[in-house]
Amino acid sequence: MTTHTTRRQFLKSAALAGAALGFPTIVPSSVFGQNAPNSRIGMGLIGLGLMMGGHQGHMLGRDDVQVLAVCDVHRNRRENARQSVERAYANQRATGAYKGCEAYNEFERVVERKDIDAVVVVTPDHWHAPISVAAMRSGKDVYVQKPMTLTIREGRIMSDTARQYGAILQVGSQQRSERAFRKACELVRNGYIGKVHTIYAGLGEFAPPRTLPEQPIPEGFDYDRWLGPTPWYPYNEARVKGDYGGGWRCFWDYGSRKNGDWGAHHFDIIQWALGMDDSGPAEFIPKGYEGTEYQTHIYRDGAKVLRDHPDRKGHMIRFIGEKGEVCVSRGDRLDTTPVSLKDQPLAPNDVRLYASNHHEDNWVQSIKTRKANICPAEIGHRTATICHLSGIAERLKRPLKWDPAKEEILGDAEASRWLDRPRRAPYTYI
Amino acid sequence: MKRFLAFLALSSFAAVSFAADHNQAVTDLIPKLADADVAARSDAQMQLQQIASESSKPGHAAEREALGKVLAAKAADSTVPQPARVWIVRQLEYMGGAEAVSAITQLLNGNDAELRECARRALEKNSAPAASDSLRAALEKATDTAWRIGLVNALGWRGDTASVGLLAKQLDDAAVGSAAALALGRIADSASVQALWAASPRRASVGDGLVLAVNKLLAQGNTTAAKVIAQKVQGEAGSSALKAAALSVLAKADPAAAPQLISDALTGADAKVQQAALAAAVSLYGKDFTSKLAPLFPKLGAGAKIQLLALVDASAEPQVIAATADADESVRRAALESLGRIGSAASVPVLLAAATEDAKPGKSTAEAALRTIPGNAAAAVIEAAASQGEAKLRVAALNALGGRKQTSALPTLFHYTTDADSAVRKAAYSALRSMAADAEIEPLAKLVLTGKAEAAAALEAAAQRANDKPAAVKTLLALAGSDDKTLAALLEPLAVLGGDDALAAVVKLTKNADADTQDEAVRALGSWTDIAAARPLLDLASSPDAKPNQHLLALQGLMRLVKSVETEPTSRRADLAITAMKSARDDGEKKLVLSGLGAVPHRKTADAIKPFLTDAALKKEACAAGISLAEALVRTDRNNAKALATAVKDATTDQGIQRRVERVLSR
Repeated sequence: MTTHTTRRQFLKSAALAGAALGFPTIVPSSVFGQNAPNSRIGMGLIGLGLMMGGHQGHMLGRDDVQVLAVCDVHRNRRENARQSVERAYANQRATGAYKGCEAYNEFERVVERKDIDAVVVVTPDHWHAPISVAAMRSGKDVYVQKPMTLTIREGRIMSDTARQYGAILQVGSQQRSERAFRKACELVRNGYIGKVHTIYAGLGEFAPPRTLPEQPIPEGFDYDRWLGPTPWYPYNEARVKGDYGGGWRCFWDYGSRKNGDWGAHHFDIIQWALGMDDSGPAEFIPKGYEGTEYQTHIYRDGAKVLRDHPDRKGHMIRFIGEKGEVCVSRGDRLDTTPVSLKDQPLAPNDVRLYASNHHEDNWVQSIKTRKANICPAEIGHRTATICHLSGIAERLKRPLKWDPAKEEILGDAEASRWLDRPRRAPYTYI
Repeated sequence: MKRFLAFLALSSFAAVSFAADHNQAVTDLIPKLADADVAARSDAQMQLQQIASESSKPGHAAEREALGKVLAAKAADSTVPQPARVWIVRQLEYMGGAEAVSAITQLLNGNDAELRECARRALEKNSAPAASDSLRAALEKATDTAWRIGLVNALGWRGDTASVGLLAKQLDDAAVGSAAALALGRIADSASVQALWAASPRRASVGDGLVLAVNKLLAQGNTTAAKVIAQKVQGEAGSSALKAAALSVLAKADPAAAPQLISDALTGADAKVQQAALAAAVSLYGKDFTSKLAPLFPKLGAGAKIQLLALVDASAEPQVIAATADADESVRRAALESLGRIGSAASVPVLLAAATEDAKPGKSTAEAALRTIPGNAAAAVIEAAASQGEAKLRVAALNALGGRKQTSALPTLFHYTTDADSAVRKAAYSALRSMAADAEIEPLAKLVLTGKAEAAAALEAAAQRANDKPAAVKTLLALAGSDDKTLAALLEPLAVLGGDDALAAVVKLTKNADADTQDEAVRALGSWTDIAAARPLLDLASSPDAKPNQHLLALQGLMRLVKSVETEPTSRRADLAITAMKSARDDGEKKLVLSGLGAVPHRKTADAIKPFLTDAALKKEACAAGISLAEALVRTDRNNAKALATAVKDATTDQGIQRRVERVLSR
């Protein structure tokens, strides 16, 4: 683990560096993937479920990216994706024909290819870190979906690996690339609503995880590899289903449930607004503990984040300060109290946050320039840490004290065991 | 001493009591943990998890140990059903201590693969040294590749120095070697490093293992050993990524050599290594980063220059300004971008000049930098630049003021709306449009009323932004006085502002003697800011005396409100659309209203659409509206949505709509 000072210094520099990245592309010719066809960035897409659709479409539409490989543990999915990639490239050619995208069951086959410069990792959470770390050690750049990790220790490893191996890693917290969220964060960060004391964030609830009876494993599905580093359970479709309303997201084994799902988005925005991208809260209190009505985490300055408090004025996040409020949601929805704040221009000396107008494009530009992207590994790690600590407190049904500088749970040895989880053999690499 | 003995006695008694309680609780749960109905096991699992959590709270060491013993005994008891044992060992993974090692070791060496794996995981997390002994013994006799990898990793994560020899033997194994290399790196003692060296750091996983070892040694403060290893890795690293990692750790292990390492990397050609070097420099130099690295700038290639420009602070402004003249276009643009972040007043002329160079691609970068360049001094220079000099520079400055929403410049912007140069006038209006609000409503309205058409957009934007909308309406109505023609010129901002007074004034204009004024007033009602204009529009639409064009305008406006004012309850919007349908005079107007009905998800609109599904002249639009409505309604009213979708299905052969219907019906 590196020192806190080091990370903080680097993050601050990186954040400042990126502050103007909404600007047009700056690309020296030397930075394209040298082995990729036509000097495009050779790309591998790993995990071809619900979330990959948008990423795949974006990458296929770029003339500076060549998708060379797709990977999934579902045979049909990867074959369909391969055909879809080849069809898209064929349509772009005068000949109307194209072959050149390989489909793999094992991500290791993608990572070991020298002509692949970058990978998009859109698997369930428990595969994020193993694949991303292997890719970075192999010299690839990485786009990884949120939450960045399954455990807090994985996050430290990912962040250090990205920094040390010179990798560009971006986390898919795309709300950072939405104008309303940036504006909301700039208003909060620059003190336009005074000292922030309370924040409400709406995450919703998943159904409790269930014990499921065994079903036959479908033909062409590598279930053992889908489980990967997580404990073995008999196959049941409900366990592995990709479903925004539940599916695998319900199970603790594969993530931190809603904390890792919507929390990875909203807690991330709260971190950004409070200027805590290199740090985090100091205390986590689960819902129900000694009458606590809403899951809460508390920053050292006293700012409290309450999950699912209903009084959010119809928004995803509501920041309440001593002088006003900022409410923000997807769909470019921003409301303020006073109303005039919504159009408040920033003063010449105000902090201007990193401006990105398109999350995936920001990553590709970052690969080309080697400059910091809007959501690098350290930021993803700090946000995921909040998700996981909230989850650990919920599981243990007791509050946790956290030292964000040392990244340690204070005074609770058993809770500290949850900072990482053992990995199932043979998927133990990270 | 007496107190201590008393405490011990009390603790022992408590432990015995805990053990008895826990034994009973766990015994009671076991049948449920192995219930033949798998789904029924969940509650018992959660109960056991809760017991484990409660018992392992801080300050409950005796209770934790007592439960650990109970669980360990149950885990090792072959009469306990396997599913229960699995769940028990999973609890031991997070709360078991020395008391559980022996029992878990039995499982580690047993025949049940699932229990064996659970045991391996539990031992990996168990802090008792004996857990390592068990894992080592298991690895010595293990033959299965996957199992060996698991054991190797468990020992690596535990940092078990006693297993180095055993792990070293695995290094040359094609399947297990990578795991062994990482495990040895995590152990990071001299023997493990020696073993890795013997296996050649050119092998990627061995190199990665050595990087892990350096990191661990650095964390322990052993920089001497870390430096030696890092130097060797750097000397032998094969890949770009490993070279970057080696540089990164070496710079930390050997701060004296770091400046040269960083310099060499930055003047080299490897972008990844440059990136790692800059990250290392940030750590090494802290706030002196810029002063240490800026002198290197002239020696760097384009890629390194671009990376460095993104990291320097304001002290590098002179070098960054110089870089805006770099021969490489990408560097030039990176420099302009950097000025937007770290520039001062001195950078403004450079950016203004670049923002006027239409032929060069850096124009938009310079414009963006002018919008963000920090500091009051820079803001003042931009404001001053708008007042004098070449017109194109003034235009660039005005655009920057607008982009920055530099409200301090608002009073002076009005001067430029009368400038002799049309481009300057246009830029001034554009800047006003970007930031005008309450205070600018009156002067802008006056400009509009004196025939300055360019002011209209700025006035509308100011109305949109106004905080005190009633006051703004009052201002506009006062300016108009009793003159309807003047009022007609202010219809658009009134529609944006809304409110009762504005509405009454606009409704009055719909009855003006001049037909064009009437039309404009109806249009203004159609673009009203809220649903309040629906009533007068509906009155117009229902009036048999309404002229055909105004009737159509009224329906168009009404449908816009019905579709867009989502703050109004859907029931109310549904009623409006249904009433509007009654006043539709021909099929064209009915099609228009159908589109409105289809946009308001409510059972009433669903019912209103159905009759048109069989109308030959309107069937196509009714089906389109019906399926859109069903898709929206299915989220809140599945039954009515499906009924409507079914009706649409029966009415159309359109394949696209049929597919959409199927999707609704499958929800």
